[in-house]
Amino acid sequence: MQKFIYFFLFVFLLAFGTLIRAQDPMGLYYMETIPQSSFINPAMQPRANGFVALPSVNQNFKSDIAFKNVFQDVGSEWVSPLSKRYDFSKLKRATGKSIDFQESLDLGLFGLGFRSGRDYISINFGVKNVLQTGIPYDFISIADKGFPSGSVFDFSTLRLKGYSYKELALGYSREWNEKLTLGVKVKPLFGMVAGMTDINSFKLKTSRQVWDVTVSGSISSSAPIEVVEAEDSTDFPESVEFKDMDSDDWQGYFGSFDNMGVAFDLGGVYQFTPRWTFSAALVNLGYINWTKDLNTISFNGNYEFDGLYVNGSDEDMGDAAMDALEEDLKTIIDYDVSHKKFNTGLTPEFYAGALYEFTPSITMGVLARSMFQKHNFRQDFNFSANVQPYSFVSINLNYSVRPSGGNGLGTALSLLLGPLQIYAMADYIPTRYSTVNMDGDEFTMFPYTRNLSVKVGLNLIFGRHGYRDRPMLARNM
Amino acid sequence: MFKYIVMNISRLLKVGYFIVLIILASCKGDDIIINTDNPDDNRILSGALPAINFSYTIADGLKELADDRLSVGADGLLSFKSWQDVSIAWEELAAINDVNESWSYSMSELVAMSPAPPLKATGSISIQEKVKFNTDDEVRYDKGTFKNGDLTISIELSAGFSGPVTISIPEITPLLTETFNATGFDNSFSKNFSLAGREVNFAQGVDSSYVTLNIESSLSFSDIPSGQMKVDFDLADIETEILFGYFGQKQSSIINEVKSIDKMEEDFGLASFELKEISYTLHTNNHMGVPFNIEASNIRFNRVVDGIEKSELLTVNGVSKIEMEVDSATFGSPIQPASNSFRVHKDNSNILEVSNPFPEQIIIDILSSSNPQGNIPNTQNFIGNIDSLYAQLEIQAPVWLKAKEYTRKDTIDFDFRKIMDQDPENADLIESLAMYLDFYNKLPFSANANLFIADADGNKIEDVLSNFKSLLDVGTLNSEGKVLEAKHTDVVVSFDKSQIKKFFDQKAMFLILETKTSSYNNETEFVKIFEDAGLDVSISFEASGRIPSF
Repeated sequence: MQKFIYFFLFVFLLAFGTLIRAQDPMGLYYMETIPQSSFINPAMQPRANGFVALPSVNQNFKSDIAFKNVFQDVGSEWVSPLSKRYDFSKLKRATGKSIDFQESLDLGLFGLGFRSGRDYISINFGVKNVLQTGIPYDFISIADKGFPSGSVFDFSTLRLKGYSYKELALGYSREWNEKLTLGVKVKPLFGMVAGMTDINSFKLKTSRQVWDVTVSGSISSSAPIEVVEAEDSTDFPESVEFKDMDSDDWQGYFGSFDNMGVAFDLGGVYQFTPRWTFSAALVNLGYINWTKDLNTISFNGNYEFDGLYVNGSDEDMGDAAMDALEEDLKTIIDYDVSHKKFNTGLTPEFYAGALYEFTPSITMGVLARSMFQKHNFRQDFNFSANVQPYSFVSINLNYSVRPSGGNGLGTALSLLLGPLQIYAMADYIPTRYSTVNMDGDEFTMFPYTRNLSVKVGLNLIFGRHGYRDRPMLARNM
Repeated sequence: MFKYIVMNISRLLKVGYFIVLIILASCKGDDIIINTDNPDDNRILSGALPAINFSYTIADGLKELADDRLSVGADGLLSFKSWQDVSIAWEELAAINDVNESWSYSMSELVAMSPAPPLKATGSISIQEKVKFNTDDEVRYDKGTFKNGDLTISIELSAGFSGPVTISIPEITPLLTETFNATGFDNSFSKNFSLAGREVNFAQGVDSSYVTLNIESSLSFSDIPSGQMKVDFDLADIETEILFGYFGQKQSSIINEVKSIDKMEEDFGLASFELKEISYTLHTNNHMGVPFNIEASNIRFNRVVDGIEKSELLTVNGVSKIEMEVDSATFGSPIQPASNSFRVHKDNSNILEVSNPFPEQIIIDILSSSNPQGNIPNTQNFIGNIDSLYAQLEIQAPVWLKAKEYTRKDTIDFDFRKIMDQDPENADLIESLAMYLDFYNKLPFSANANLFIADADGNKIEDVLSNFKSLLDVGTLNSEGKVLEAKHTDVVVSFDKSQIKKFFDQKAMFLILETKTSSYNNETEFVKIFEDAGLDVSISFEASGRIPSF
C-alpha cells in the first residue's frame, strides 16, 4: 500500500506543482526547421518562407526533487525520510530553502508566419496555464527533528501561484546584416483566472513555554470568489466561497479580454564566422494586470501560543479553552480584505547559446538557460546535435544538465509530409529506470527524474527549403 | 518520390527501434529495495509544547461547591457559617379551650309571684350568667378577635309557656343576640353562632375573664308555673386572631436539638485545621407580645476522632448555659417582632477548645419561660397568629486558620495499557516524556507530595515524586495574612523509555497521590483565605519518540 502512496505522491507533486510559464524543450532552440523555435529566441528565423501553426501542446513538469531525493540510497537498501539513516542535509542541498514543484500546459491554437525579404513576421495565439508551488524546506525538516525547544522554522518560502491566460504573440525578426539578426516579440496577454500567495514572513519559533508565530503576507485572486468580511474588519472573513456559476457564465468568464497584460521577448543571433553562430534571448519580460473579480486577503500579526487557558470557574473547561483559541486565531492576526488590482509577473528566462556548423545539415550547439523566480534561481545547460539527413526530416539529440539538479537526454524530431509538418520533442527524458521493491511490492520508477518537458504539434510549411540564398547542400569549403 | 520517402522513414524507424532496445537495456538500473516496515530504524523526533494554563481561585471553588455555608465578606475574606432554625412551640400559651356551660332553672322560681298569678297571666324572666374563658386563674384575657369559634346556645322551656325569649352576650361585638318564640308546645330552641370576625371584650372578675349570657323573657302561662328551663352554652373550635391579656408564667423546652455539620472533612478539610476565630450565636425572634427567658444548656460539640465519637461541653463564663431574655413584640400593624442575640466567642467561653477540630454535630437543650417577671401592672400580653418563639443557632468562623501537615491520599485512574491502546509497540515508540508544572501559588499554603504509579492491587511500580517533593511554596504575606505575590515553584515529572516499558509490562493502573498541606508558618501564625487567592498552573511538555511505521 505504501508504494502507491509514495508513487502517487511523487507523481502528484511532479504533475501539479507548476511553473509560471511553460518552458519549451531546449531541443527546440536550434531546430530551425520548426517555426516554433522563435518561441524561445524571437530572432530565430525558421527555415521556411512561410508557415501556418496548427494546434500544439506543450507540457512541462519540473521538480526540485526526484525519487532518489525522497528515498535515499544507503548502500544495501534505500530508506525513506522516516529512517534515522536518511540524510536530510542531502535533501537540503537538492532543494535549497524551498522545494518547488512546477507545471504548465500551453495550448497553441493558431499561428502563422512569413518571410518578407530580410524580415520574418509571425503571429501566434494560445492559451497558457500555469501553476507553481513552493514548499518550505523547513516544513519538511519537521520530519527530521520534530519541534524541539529552541527551533526556528521559516516558512516564508511557502507559495502557491497559478493562473491561466491567453497570449497573442506578435513576432518580428530582421536580418540587419549578413551576421546579425535581431528579433522581438510583443505579447498582449489576457488573464482569465489567477490566484497567488505573497508571503513576506511566516516564521515559527518553538519552546516549551511558548510557540511564537509571525506571519505577514497576502493571498490574492482574480476569480469568481466571494469573500464576506467579518463584523470586525480586522478579523478573519466570515466566509470565502466560489460563486455559483453555470456553464454559460464560465464561458463568458474565460472568453473575456479583461485582465490585460503584456510581455516582451528579445533575441539576437550573431554569425561570428561561417561556422560559429552565437545567440541570446531574454524572454517573458512582462506581467499581467489583474482587474476583474479581485479579492486580496492580507494578514499580518504575531501570535504567541503559550497553552490553552482554562479557568476553574468554567463548567466546560475544554470547550471554552478551544473556543478561546479559535477566537484568538481569528482576531489576534490582523486581516484585511481589499479588492485592489494586483500584478503577476511572468518568469523571465535568459538563453545564451553557441552553434557550430559542421555542415549545413549537421550542427552542434550548446545552450544555457537561466530562470529567475522568487526564492529560486534555476540554471540549465544543454548540449545538442542537430541533423537534417534529408530535407523532410530533422533530428535533434541533446543532453541537459542542471547543477545540483537533474540531467537527461532530450530529442526532437520533425517530419515533413508535403507541407504538413509533424514535430515532437522532449527534454530530460528519463535515462534510467529501476524496479522498486517496497515492502515486497514491486513497481517501476525513474529514480533520477525531476523534469520532463514534451511538446508536440503540427505546422503547415511553405518554402521548406529554407533560406533565401543559403543552399541546403554541404558547403564546398 | 513517395516510395523513396517511405523507404527512408522505414529505415529510420528500424534504426530507431534498435537504438531504443539498446538504450532501454543499458538504462536499467539496480533494483531499489525499500523497507519501511522497520520501526527500530525510524527516526526519533522530539517536541516541546506549552499545553495548559490552569487558573483556579477560591471564588471558582465557591462557585463549584455551591455551598451556601460559605460566603465572602466585604473584605473578601472567606467565611464559614452554619445555622439551624429552632421553633419553640407556644400554642398552649394563650389557647382558649372549649367552653361548655349548662344551667337549669325552676320555672316556678323564675316566675314566682305572690300571690299566685292568675291563669293566663304573664311573668318576666331575667337571667345573667357569667361564662369564664380562662382555665388558669393567673391568666387573664382582656380582649380578643376571633378567627374561628362555633358557639351553640340551646334553651328548653317546659310546655305551657309561651312568649319571646331573648338571649344576648354584651361583651361580644357585633352584639350577639337572638330571640326565640315559645309556643307552649314547641319550646326547645338552639342557635349556632360563629365568632369569626367578632371581638370579645372580656369582663373581669376574681381570677376570671368572662362574658355574660343574658336571657330575657316575658312568658305567658296557662297554668301554675312549673317545670324547668335549661340553658346550654357550647363554644368550640376557638381560634383567635389576636388575644390580649396576661398569659401567665409557662415553660416550653426542646431537649437534644441536634445540628449536624456535613461534609466538613470531604469538602473543606476544616476538621484538620485549627481555626483562629469561631463564634456560636443564639438568635431569638419573638413575634408574640410576651416576654421570654431563654436558657440554652448542655451544649455539646461532637466529632469523631480516630473512629471514636468525642463530645465536648461548651461552657460560657464557666457554666454550660446561655441565658438571655427576649422582650415582647410591639403591637401594631404589622406586629414588630422583638429579637435578641447572645454570641459565644473565645473571650467568654471555651469555644476554641471545643471547636478545634471543627465539630460534626452540635447538640443543645433549650428551655424558654414566658413572663419571667410575672404580671407587670399596666402591661398586656398579646398573641397573634404566630404562636411560636423562633431561635437560630449559628456557628460562624472566618477562614482564618493554621494547618500543620494536613495529609490526604488520592487515587487517580491511570490505565496505561488502555492509553497505549493495549499495544506494546505504542509504548515502545516513546523515548522520553517530561511534564513541566509551573505553579504560581497565591494561597497561604505550602504543599508537598508523593506520587507513585501502582498496579491494580495498589502495589507500587515506580516513584514519580518521592520524599514529599515540594510542590507549592508560600509567597510573602501582608499583615492581613494575604499573599501579596504569587510564589513560583516548578516541578518536572519525567519518564524515560525503560520506565514507560515498565508501566506497560507491569500494567500500571493508578496514580497514587499523597499530599501534605501546611499553612504558612503554621507553628505560630494563622492565615486568612481570601476569595481572590488561588493557584495558577502552567503545564508544558517535552517528549521524544520514534516515528511509527505507516
